[in-house]
Amino acid sequence: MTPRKAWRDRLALLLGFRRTDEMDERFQSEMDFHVAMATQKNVRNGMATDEARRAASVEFGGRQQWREAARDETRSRYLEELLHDARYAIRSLRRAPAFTAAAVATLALSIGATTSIFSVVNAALLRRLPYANPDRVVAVCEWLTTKPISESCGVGSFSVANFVIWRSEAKSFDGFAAFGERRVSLAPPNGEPISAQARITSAGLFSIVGARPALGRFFTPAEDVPGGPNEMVLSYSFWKQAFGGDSSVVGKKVLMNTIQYEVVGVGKPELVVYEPVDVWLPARFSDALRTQPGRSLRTLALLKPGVSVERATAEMKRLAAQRAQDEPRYNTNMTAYVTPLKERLVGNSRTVLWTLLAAVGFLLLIACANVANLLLARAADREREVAVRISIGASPRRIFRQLLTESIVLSLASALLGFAIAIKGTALLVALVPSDLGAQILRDVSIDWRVLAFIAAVGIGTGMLFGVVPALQAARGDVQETLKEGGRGGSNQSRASARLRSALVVAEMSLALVLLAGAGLMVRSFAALQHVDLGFRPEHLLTARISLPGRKYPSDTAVAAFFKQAESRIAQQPGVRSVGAISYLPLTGERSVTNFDIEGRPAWKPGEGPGGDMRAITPGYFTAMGIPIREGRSFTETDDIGSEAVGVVSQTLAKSLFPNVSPINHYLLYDWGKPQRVRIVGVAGDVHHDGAAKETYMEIYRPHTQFAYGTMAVVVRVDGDPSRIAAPMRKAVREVDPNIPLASVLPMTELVSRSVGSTRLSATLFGLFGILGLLLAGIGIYGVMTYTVQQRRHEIGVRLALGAGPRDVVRMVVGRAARLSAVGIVIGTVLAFAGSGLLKKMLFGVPAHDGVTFAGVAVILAIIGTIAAVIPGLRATHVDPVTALRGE
Amino acid sequence: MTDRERDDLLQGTLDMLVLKALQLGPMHGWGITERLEQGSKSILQIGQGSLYPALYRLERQGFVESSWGTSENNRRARYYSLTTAGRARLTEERQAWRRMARAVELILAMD
Repeated sequence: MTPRKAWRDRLALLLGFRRTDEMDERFQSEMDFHVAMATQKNVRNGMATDEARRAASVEFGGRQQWREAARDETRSRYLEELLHDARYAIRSLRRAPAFTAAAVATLALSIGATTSIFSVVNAALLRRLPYANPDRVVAVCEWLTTKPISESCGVGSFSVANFVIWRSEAKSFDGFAAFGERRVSLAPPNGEPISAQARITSAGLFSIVGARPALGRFFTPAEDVPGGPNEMVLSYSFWKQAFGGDSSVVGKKVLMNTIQYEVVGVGKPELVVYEPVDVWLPARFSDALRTQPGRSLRTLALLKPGVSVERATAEMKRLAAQRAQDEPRYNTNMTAYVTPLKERLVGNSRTVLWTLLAAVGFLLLIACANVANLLLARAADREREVAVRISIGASPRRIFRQLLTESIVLSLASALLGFAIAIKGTALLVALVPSDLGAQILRDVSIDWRVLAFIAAVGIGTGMLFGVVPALQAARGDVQETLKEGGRGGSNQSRASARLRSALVVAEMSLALVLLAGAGLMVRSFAALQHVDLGFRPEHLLTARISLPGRKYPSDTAVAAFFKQAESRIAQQPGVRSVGAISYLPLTGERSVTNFDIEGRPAWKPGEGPGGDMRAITPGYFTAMGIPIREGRSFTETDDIGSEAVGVVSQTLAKSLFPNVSPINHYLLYDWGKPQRVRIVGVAGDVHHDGAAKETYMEIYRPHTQFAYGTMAVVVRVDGDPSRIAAPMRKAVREVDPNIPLASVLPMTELVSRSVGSTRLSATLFGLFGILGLLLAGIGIYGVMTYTVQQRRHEIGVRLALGAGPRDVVRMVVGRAARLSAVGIVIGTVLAFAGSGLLKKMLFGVPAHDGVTFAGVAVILAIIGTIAAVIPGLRATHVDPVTALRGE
Repeated sequence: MTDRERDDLLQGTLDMLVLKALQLGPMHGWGITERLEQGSKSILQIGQGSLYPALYRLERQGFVESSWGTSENNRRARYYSLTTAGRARLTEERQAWRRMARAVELILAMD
């Protein structure tokens, strides 16, 4: 037989197919031989040949019948037995409803939780981006050679000049596109103007992600040139929402910031690059922009097939070095990085998500240990049943398989229920994920084959995990012993099982400790974040963004006048205490950094200066935000366009650059379109602009009148609930200009809460898993001690009869539990200590090996372990010595 | 107890006897029936056809293996022999049988 054929036969046998022709031939041959031999024997015994043959045939019996029987036997019984075992398992599980309910509830919850987390991990980390060549799409950014690359490198760090030069020079890419974002006001035909998020991009972006339009077309590289046509592509959701999904939208004219644009196409729903936007506009980088030094663009590129990230990086670094030579003023100490887009998007959330999956995996392990414990208890009750089955001929292997099948039936039922829980749980989880992160990495959390495969594997895997050892134990049972002693505990087997149960409880305790320690560290980080003084008072503050179209507000004066009027109208609304505005609001991730020098001191070499965060504010801003002025003054209405250029700096800037003197009346020098000379008139309190976990920056505040921005965030401090002021605020702004919409209307507290979103997510989930783990471990201890008390009834009875008091009995039981807890706590602490380093990136204001946390969770676990043992301990005192001894 | 388990028990007996017959050495189907008949001093008449399903079953379960050979009168015959698993199985079944027999004997001996 060829090996291949042998395998095919084996497979056929296993699956229950018959290879009939071959078997029939063999059977026929064996039968012929048999009958011939029988005939010979009959002849030897004196029969005539014919008669002998007939007799032999009769004796053999119905050939057809035996052939059928033989055929049946060559078929594997595997599936049949499996079904039989499964039916038997269901019957026996139904006979023990309390056990089944407890096990299924425990497992379904933890499988549901695990699958929920896995769905999110799957969506965020495992799924490929919905692009034509997801693995070749990379982000390129410029960054300082002097500082480690930061995650914000992706937010906007490319200069137009370098982009335009490198787009034509870089050989590693099949496409290279740069883009930025802008808030615009859009007026659809015959519609009210609405605020929309626009992405201003070079035309290459669409082909880099391999997008196809849902309607019409995208603008082309030929059109994306200075003086090119005013064209606009709508995002799918914006088209549905603002245009009602009008299929004749292509070719229509739309007023964008009072300029007429033609809608040329609509993107498909999956056309999302970083955050979703409403409309796509051509960048048409003008020659004037080409020489601008500022870095505010993001880029995407498509690697040529076969070009590695490393090769592209090497090329970009070479180009960057060339630029540093050609244009040292803006490019010294700058280099370029190439990162796969997926990696850039996922960033830090990779650690968070894997950690959470590990945590919930621990919870699942604890649940398995608990169910294994329940099974062991049940096995003790079933020792007799098993012994009887073995004595009537069931093989140990058969018993083992039967019991394991029962476990797997149990876990599969739990997985089914867990799946329902997971669907709900995933939705809850997605709602918990910070929205800015979610929009980028959780585009599609639907159930796919990976999630299904995962839950199937978990369903079968957990059953094996918690079922194998109890089943082995039971199947190995010593029949004679069990039958003889009438099923009472105390056999070798039950002693082995008692040891096993203790070991399981120890494992549960140590896993619970690991979870709790993680929860403790995360909760403490979250608390520490909450306690950070952000530098302003976020309560009772409403924020909104206003963008003025440049066509209608062409001059700084016009822009300043608008905000002055709008602020005074808003201030008149009832309940408003103060109003201010700023170009880049804290906690939005927006900033603009420029190099500056201090008059009278040597200038920094290019690329070595500290860099200041430039922010334009209105005079009311500090008051409205509750940012204190530490020295000097804030801005007033008299700091006007014609008056002396003034600035307020942050304490960080004051302390690091003017450590021993007052910065007041010193002059800052920098380039912003033209050379600026700004007198410092005040020092403002530090603000954590990028969140509590981030450092404070060197801020340079300028009066809005001298440094106008068409897009400002207005902040309004009110009495009571800030969201109530949204409608009056909208009305007030409309009174100034009916065509200006408000965008991103949010209470400041919401921004604060979003800024700690990922820590809150981890703290919430870790906390939840920790508490569940603690609960399960407690139940585990309770179960084992109850069982121990039951097993030791006799011993306890003797002790009580010999004069031991109830207190001694309780002490005995609790003492035993305490020993188990102690071992679990020690092992858990070691594990947690070794593992907590992995959390380091996610922690804030608390060391990974925080003694307080570790001691605290150990104490909590010890308390729970004791409480769980007290109840069976008290029950033990009710043992009646007479009954217990008579049971002998 | 289900019907199938009762089947198992009865089949089990024939299986055990077949294993025992093969313990003496590899043999073809006809030879096995002869061994069983002689061994039981002709008390036990094995339904001759039923032997083959039993052999096929034991082979599937891995307790026996088989190959073609030539019989004493020069005919092609299928020879069966015990595997290691089969030997172990025989020991187990023998113990179980003795237990059972003792239990039945004890019950029958009751006054």
